[in-house]
Amino acid sequence: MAHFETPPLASETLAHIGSFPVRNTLIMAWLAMAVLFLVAYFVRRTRYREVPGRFQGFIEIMVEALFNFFDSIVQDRKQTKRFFPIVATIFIFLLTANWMGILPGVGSITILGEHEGKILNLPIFRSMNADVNMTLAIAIISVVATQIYGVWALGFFSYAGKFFVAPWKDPIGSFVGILELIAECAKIISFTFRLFGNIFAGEVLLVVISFLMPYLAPIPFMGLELFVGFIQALVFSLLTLVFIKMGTTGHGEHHASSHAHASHAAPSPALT
Amino acid sequence: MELLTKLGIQWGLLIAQIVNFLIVAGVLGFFIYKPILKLLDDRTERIRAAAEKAKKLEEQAKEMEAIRVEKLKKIDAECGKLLETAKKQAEQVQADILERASKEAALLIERGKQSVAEERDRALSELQGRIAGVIVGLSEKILAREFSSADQTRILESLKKDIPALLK
Repeated sequence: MAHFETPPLASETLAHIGSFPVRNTLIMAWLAMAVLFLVAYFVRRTRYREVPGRFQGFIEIMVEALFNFFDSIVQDRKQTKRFFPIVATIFIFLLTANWMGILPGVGSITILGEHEGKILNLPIFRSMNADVNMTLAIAIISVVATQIYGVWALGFFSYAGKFFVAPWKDPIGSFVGILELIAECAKIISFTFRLFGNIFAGEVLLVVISFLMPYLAPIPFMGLELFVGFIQALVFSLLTLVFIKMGTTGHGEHHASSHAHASHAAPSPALT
Repeated sequence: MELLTKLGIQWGLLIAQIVNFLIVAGVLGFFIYKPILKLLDDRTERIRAAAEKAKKLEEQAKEMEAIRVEKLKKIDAECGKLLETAKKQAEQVQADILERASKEAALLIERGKQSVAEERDRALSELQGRIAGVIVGLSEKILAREFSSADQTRILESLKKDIPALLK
């Protein structure tokens, strides 16, 4: 029987630039960035004509569809415009990276190298989000952006008032505030491991299926991974959008919308 | 901490990836979101303005059409009035001309009659003179004597009285 290796949890370091480790997931991140920069370059080259060509028309449709979709959740064009760069970039970057992770060669082209003290075949490319560093980075950006937008929209003291309530004035409110604070930190962890778990599991699944039956059998699972990649990118961006929206909503409105919060948050574990 | 190493978490990588994301967000925002959204907004605005303008123009056209129809109606009415007046005037002129012509004709006939009557009168009186002369001559010859001037005058006077009765 052929040698069978499941990918390790941690991504593999291929080389070092100084003390900085270049890992296979980082290479994929750079490739995804290169693809997006190329698209941006071609969009720039259209000169944003009033009468669009095919490519510009396609990009316009995509941007408009994404914007209208986000706007249907925020229900405020001005706010949507403010949140759009972060949320849309999360969606587009994750989607690009997730789909690039299914390309042939990712995980299968290897070089010999050392990983956790052992000499192994290390894949040169590994799906970007099958690395906790990457998902954690974007989760941190998402949560930090939520706080920044919240402070920006409500002012520092009003926003901090969501978490810190004087216990002698409102003991229950004070306790709820602490829970909210913990929930903010928990968001980072849930964001990180939802995305990492899905993409890593997909990778393992494809490796196992390819090992068991190299021809034809992986095709439906690749379709499944395309779908999972899309859904995860969507879930990440939509949750970020919803959290930002909730963070920028005032204290009074916040309690009124806390039921909406529950109903928004509830479907996400089901989607994972 | 063991969990973190097991998962391969490395602060340098984490920061690198955050920076990567921010660069991507910056590039996409600067080259795609901002210009494309602005383009779409501008286009929406332009289409809205164009539609409004078209509506306004249509309304104006309708107004102009109404004004045109109104003017045409007025012109029609004026034409009719003018025609009516012209007809009346023409009839008046015709009647005048006819009347004057018939008057002139009557006058001419009258004059003609007059001149004929004058001619006849003159011829008649001339004839009277000559006949009286002839009669006086004949009478002198028949009577073989000459009338004194007093006689002549008397005879001529009586003849003048009788001749017209004779001539009739």
